[in-house]
Amino acid sequence: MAFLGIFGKKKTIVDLVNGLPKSGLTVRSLQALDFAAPGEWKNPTDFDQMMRDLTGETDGDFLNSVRARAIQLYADEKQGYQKALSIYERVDSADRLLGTAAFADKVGEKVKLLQFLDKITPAADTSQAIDLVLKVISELLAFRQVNGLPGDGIADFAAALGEYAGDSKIRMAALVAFDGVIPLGPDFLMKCNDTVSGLTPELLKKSAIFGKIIDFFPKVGATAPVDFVKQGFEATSGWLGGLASGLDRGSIVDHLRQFVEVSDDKLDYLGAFLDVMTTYYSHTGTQSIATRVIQRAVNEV
Amino acid sequence: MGQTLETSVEPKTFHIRNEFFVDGILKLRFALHMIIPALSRRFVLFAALATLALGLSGCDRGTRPPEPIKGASLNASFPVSGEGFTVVFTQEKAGFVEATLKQNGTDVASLAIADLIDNAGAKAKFASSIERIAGHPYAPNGSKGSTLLVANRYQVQVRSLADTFDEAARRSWLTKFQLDTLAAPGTR
Repeated sequence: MAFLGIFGKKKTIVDLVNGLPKSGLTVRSLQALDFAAPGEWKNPTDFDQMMRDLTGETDGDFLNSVRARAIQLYADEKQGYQKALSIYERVDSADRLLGTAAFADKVGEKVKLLQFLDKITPAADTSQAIDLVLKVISELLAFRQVNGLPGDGIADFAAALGEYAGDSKIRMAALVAFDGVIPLGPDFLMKCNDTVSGLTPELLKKSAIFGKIIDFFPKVGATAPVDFVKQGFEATSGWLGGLASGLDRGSIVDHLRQFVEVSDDKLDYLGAFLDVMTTYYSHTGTQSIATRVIQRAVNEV
Repeated sequence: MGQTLETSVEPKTFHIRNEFFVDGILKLRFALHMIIPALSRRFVLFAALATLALGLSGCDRGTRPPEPIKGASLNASFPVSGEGFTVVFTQEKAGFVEATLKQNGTDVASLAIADLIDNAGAKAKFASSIERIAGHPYAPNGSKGSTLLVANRYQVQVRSLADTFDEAARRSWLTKFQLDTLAAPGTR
């Protein structure tokens, strides 16, 4: 509706990318995983630079036309890009601790986890496992929106994971590291598989994430949400296992200790701390969506 | 490269409905002026203006751009994997399909078909095309892209992702699309 323009301007994809933080806990947490995927993620926060990098073009007029098309594509709600970002944002907001975003913005400054012990509570293994599984499903749902695939998209998603790179790869690495290996240990996938095999609608509903993403589950010819979650996770757990093989718990914690002070007996709080203090899904999700929009826009000018 | 925000359908219904509403409101206002006190008139006028606004917004339905073709319909026109090259599909949206071309596991090019049915800006670059490949107008697109306009509607593009994949390679891969299938209505 054109009327909405009177009341407020929606952010363009350019605004969203250029508004991403260059530092802070989210960025530093993701950078701490560079050891597992060296050079994989460069935290793109400049839309024009992203266009140059992705298209290989330098001509200003040509890039202006690509930018204009990218803005137009993202602004069209039917294209699914906005829905994808909404999914990433909902995952982050489900476990966000408000009012803490300003911590650890200064390079070299360490956050003392002890200060947060009264504000965060490590989740029980079962609910942590369900949250991790639902974050994987959220990625699948966002993937369907961005890539526009028909059906439930499970097979296409599982096949596409092998092609994940850059922002998408680091997001999945963070998922495995921060929501899997740190809180649940090296056998986190086994715990997730056990939880998934005994999954019930009641268990799903207990997760804050489920309520926020249920609107995006496939509707036409869809299986029940529990079955969709089971099938989606089973199709991707093999790939997650491969990714986890490069993410040793000791190495992750060592790298995080560059900016978080945490003692060995409080490691169970570290996962919960990262959960509530970072927005790594929407941060890297914005970058992944922008990548796809630019790659499409350059083919539509 | 022109902007791509044009719509080719002139919203004639807008003018007709607009005049109808304005005329109607003026008559209504005159009649109300005669019979209703000032305070009530303001309320009725507000209600009438709100109705006008809703009427205008409803005009959007009559001026929608034409629908692009389903993405899945375009898949069959893509080159197939073989001879050391693999075609991996990456996006399938309404009126747009993209794939990555890999050679021995490395991304060397992107392959795309875009329906330009509501994208006159992109189509404009073919207006001055002299060269044809396989009978279709050819135009470069930036320094890394080579495009064909098929059936005056579909833009087929090959874009280099690796430096080794040069313009000659792009032109060659343009001909590996099933251009006849893409051009012939009813065969997609």
